[in-house]
Amino acid sequence: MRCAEYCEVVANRQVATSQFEIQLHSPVVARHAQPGQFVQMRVQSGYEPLFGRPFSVFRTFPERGDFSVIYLVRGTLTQLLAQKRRGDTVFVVGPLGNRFLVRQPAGEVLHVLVAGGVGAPPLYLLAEELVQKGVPRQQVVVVNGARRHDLLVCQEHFAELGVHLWAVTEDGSLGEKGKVTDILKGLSQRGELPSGRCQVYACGPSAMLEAVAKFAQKHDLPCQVSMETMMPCGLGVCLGCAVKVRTSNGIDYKRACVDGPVFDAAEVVWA
Amino acid sequence: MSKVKMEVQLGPLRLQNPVLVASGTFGYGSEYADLVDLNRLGGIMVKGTTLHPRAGNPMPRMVETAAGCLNSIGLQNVGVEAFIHEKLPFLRQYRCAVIVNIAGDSYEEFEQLAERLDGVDGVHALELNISCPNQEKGGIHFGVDPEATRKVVSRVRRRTRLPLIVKLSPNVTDITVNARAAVDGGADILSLVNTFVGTAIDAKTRRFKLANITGGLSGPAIKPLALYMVWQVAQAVKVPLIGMGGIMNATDAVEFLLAGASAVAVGTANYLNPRVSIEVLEGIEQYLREQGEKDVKDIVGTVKRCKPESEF
Repeated sequence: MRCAEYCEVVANRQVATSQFEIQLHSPVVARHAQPGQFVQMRVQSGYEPLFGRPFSVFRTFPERGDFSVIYLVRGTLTQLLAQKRRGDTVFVVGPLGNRFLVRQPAGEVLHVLVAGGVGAPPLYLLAEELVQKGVPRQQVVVVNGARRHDLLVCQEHFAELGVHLWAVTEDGSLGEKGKVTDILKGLSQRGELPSGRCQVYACGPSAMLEAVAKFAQKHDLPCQVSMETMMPCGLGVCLGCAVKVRTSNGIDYKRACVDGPVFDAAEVVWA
Repeated sequence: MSKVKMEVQLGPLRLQNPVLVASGTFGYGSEYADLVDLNRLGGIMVKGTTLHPRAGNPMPRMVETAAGCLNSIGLQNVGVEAFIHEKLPFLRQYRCAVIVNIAGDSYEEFEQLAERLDGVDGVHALELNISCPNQEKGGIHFGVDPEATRKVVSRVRRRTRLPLIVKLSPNVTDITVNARAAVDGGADILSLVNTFVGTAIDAKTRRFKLANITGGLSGPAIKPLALYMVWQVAQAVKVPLIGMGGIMNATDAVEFLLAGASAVAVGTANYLNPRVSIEVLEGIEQYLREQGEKDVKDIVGTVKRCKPESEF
């Protein structure tokens, strides 16, 4: 079930430097959004920008029919979004795309969630689902990274879930100093990432996704990555969001909006 | 509320209303079926279909520009056989017209496509795509050279009994020349315009924004250009026209009807509002009621000159 409608803004608050969480009223999204799925949100001044932009669903509140996303103010659309106040409206299409796949039985798998910057929100929704479904908290490992402490999001939300949480910043201003892959390497060296019993999920900048995918491949870990590209329609028709993949017949393009955004890292051909 | 007649007859093609969705902006209909009541559309012009499946061009393929968008998808599609077997059965459930946009690299490919689709249940018309700007060979050549236009249309004409729509390229010096050539070749209907060739550059990185360098410009940025071409062609030929190019709302659509189009196609706007085609349809009906019109065909081509200065 999906909607395409103007949704009322419930709240819009700053959560980190240039990053906001906007809560919107949409019973359809609140009830049906799955971890990894996204919504297309459109806010315009005249015809600028022309298209909506995709945002991963962060939290859902099915009982009151609200959901939220976290966005980084970067271009015209997100600047306009940051000006929205309670009672204003935003055009929303969604929920869209596929979800992170959880191997069963989930309780016997070590779930390793690797987040980069504003890529953390859909992994929070996944972590919340895993915990709610009864996966032991110590079997949910979250590696939450960013360039600096003020760009790290969802940290307190992950902490509230009581999962095994790592914070890592490139400048060392919060948590470990380094990159998410440094944490993964450490875990692996200590034998904490058993290949037969582990599932990696990653969302973040494409360079990070590529590094995580290569790490996973090297250590024989199944890995799912959430890919972000330009996404004009979000519905699978414009073919502007193509992701290059390896298939049995050679190279092909899949659509990030409907075949993804979550892909098996092993099939992605990195640029 | 008084009933307005929305049914239109475009030569041999009857449409329950004049609002179509443009090729490449609505997939094969199924992608939008939960959000849009396909039974209410005049017709669906499906994604450009080639003889064999195509993977399309490298990324990036699409870039937003001021009030518009450049695309160089490269006709990524499932191919005609998969279209017939996997996509068409779904579309047959609906009462809107199904128009198959076909694209070939050679006269023979166009002929084979037309022949393959002739008599296939659920196909109501063909739209000859001789104007795709994103193909290395063929494609747009047929839409730019008038003699090639006439020849490809007449060769396809002999292979199909289906209503034949020819989609014109705006990337020409005088579009009426190509319009006449398409009609000479046997086109029943003309659709116009396809996208305008353009490019975009990132000043910061000093690189082109599209992998293919060029792309086709669509969206509200091209509406005045498209509207003028529809008006020009309406003066030049007698066959019915399907107008398109930057239609974002019902008012835009009405302008195309006034300029001489018997039907319109909504394209890029489908990307930002999946329900826009229905809003356009309802808006045209409302406009006609407000104007005291009883039949949409009565306003086609009725645009008048600007009021003379003395009347202000």
